[in-house]
Amino acid sequence: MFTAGYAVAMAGIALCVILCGIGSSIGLFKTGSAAAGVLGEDPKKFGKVLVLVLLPATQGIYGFIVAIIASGGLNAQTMNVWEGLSVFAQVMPMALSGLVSGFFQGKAAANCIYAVGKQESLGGKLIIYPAMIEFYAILGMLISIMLG
Amino acid sequence: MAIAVMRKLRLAAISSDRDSILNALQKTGAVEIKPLSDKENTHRPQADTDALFSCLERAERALGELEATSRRFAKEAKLEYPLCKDGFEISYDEFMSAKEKRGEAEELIEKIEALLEERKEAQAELVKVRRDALAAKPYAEIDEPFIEFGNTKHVKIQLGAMPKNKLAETETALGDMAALSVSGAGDTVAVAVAAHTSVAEQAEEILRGALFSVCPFRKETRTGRELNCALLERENQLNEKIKTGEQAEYGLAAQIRALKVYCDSLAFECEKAAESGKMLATERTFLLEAYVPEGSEELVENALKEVADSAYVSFLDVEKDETPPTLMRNNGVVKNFEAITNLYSPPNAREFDPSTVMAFFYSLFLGFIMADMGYGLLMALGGGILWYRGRTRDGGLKRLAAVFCIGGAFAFVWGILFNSLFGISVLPFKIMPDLLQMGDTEAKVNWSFLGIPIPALLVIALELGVFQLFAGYVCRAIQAWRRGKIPDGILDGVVWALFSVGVGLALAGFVEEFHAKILVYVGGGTAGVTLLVAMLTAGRKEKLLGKFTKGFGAAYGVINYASDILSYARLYGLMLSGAVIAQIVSGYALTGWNGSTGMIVSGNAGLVVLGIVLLIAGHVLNLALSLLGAYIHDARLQYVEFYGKFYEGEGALFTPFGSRHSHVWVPVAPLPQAKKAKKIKIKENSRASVKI
Repeated sequence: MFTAGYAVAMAGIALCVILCGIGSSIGLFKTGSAAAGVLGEDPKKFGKVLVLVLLPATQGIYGFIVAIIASGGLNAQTMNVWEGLSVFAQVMPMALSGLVSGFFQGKAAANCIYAVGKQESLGGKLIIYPAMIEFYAILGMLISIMLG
Repeated sequence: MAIAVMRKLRLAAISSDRDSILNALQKTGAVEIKPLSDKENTHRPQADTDALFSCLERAERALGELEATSRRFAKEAKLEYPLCKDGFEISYDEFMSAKEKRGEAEELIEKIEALLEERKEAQAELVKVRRDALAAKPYAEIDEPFIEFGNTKHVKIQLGAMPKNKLAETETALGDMAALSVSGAGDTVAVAVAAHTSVAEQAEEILRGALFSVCPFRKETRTGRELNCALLERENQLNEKIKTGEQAEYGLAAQIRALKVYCDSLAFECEKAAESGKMLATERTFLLEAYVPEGSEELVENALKEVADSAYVSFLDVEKDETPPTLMRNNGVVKNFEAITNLYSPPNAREFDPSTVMAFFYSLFLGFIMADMGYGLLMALGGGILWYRGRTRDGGLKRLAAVFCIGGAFAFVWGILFNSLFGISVLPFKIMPDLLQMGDTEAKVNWSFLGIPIPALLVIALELGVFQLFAGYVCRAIQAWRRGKIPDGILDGVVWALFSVGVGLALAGFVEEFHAKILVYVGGGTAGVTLLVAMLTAGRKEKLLGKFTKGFGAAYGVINYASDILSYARLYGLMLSGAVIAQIVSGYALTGWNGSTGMIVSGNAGLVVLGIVLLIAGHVLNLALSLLGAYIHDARLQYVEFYGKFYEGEGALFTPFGSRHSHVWVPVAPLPQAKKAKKIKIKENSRASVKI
């Protein structure tokens, strides 16, 4: 048996992985689709767009890390509801920032991929812009870890 | 660990020697021709470049057609296809002599074109015949010639086809107006409608509403049955003709290799013609400028001596405002990592080649993410074998294989440190903290970091990040020093490198298990002082307001710095996901998982087989997925976090004249290295010239 607090904490942790995963998935869907369009025109640009395509994958990894860290402090037998809620709140910064930044990073990276399609030499520089969005996922992760 | 110093070849020669000179330069593999800007009084040679390019286009089209058709025919007829994959090796002599076989090649191209033309005609006719056959199908049972369905003085006869399900409805609508004669049993039937001319228009209106289509063969003297037979026979003949044409093309497949060599030889001729158009020229002479890597001057000079009776050759230093191409000169190991840098952006010729430093970190992180003795061995063996198989020539796959091989060695070492062989602990000792709490109550997974329990390996991953950022700032300092900017190197590079040292020490000091609180003070103090220095000196080249904004920018840079460090958390995440899957696979298959016995040791024959399959398939899949993630995320850390500190890029890789071939590979001797004494400095106006 486990307590209600434990269930609340588990729900939060699961939500963290799920929301970050959704953010990354949507982001990757956008970048992958954009890359398919560009590569359909010129398959030689595969290398140039590869990193841009994979940029929004990071949020999923961060969500996973936060979930692993948060799950380390759970106790199925003694955790009360307030403790469970605090774990729930702890992982939310990561969950929400992962979801939103993954979505928008995907959009930004997809546009950068189109730009690389037009101007190949921009490939390296354009990694910087979508990577800036990731900063907020990193802040979310940092706070989620610190609140633990 | 260097970028080759480029020298500029200036060559003046008579136009009649141009072709042999260009051939000689191509053979050296050490010359990239530099386009000269348009100048007045330049006499452009009237070479028929367009004709050459259209000749190449024609040859490539014929080659593509021959390859596609013969491959398709071989597949359909289950015959052997003489595969001639692009990139096959030929000797330099064979490549150069391909031009002399132009007659044979053109004959072959004409044959292919004639076959293609014939086939296209047959295919076009086949489409028409099939369309006719479809239209004639409803009339297949009509034994009267079509032409006989003509009008009389008072009766209008309409022969056509209509859907069978509309028949009854049409008959009712027509009533006494017309007589219908129906033939055929399909969904669409042939209908002959006889109506008096006075009501013919009315009857036609009703027929149109019933989707009646007038017979397109009304002037045909044959019967419906004869027409259908004739169309079927023609269709078979055309199919046979197409197949015979394809067979004839398959018969030419053995000549694909020769045609590929010819195509590349033609492409080289086109390149020569295009480059000739970029040279300065008078009616009888031309001037060529090209980049030659330092150390290859003698090679080029000797090659020119052999072919040119009279030419003026001089080697100059590259002007300061000129951007020469980049040729990276690294040892055999680092060379494999150049492609990773080039994927981002090749270094420019005036900067520091980061490949060596990046190669170390890339391998270190690749190994950290994989961190398993078994996976490391597989990577090293697999990569090593692939590299060995492609050792004779340069190629992307060979380089990638070498990267994985080296990364595998690092993964093996990390695997020893983490005591993991396919996710199983096999060594009697542990050096690194545990990765996961897997039933082992004594396992020490977390460290107390500022009182917060944090996975120890996450802290180690972040420390690795601090180490790489430190290296990035050192690289920035070196970059500045190489350009003679000593203060910039110190203030923009060394100061931030020291800041990284401080941050690294402070991070370690925050870990309570280390019992080294002093590190927090030492590291924090170092970071604080260096940050203050960075803030005070960031605006040193600015005016008053600029000093403030730059100083503030330096302080804000700390946030970016923190973000960069945290980005290295991905090393831990990727490692963890791979390691957990490895442990689960090995647990279920071999060692037991959650109290259950491993399948292989269960004693049940079925489970043993299942366990072996799970063990192999699970680890192969996990290795492949982990490698993909490791390859990409590792590259991203190099590009965004590491290169962001100092790297400029935007160089253009040195591409020797005549070295790009679409189909063949012509081996070229490696370029000689520059003599040390020569490499030191770029002297203005230094030149060496020789009159041949």
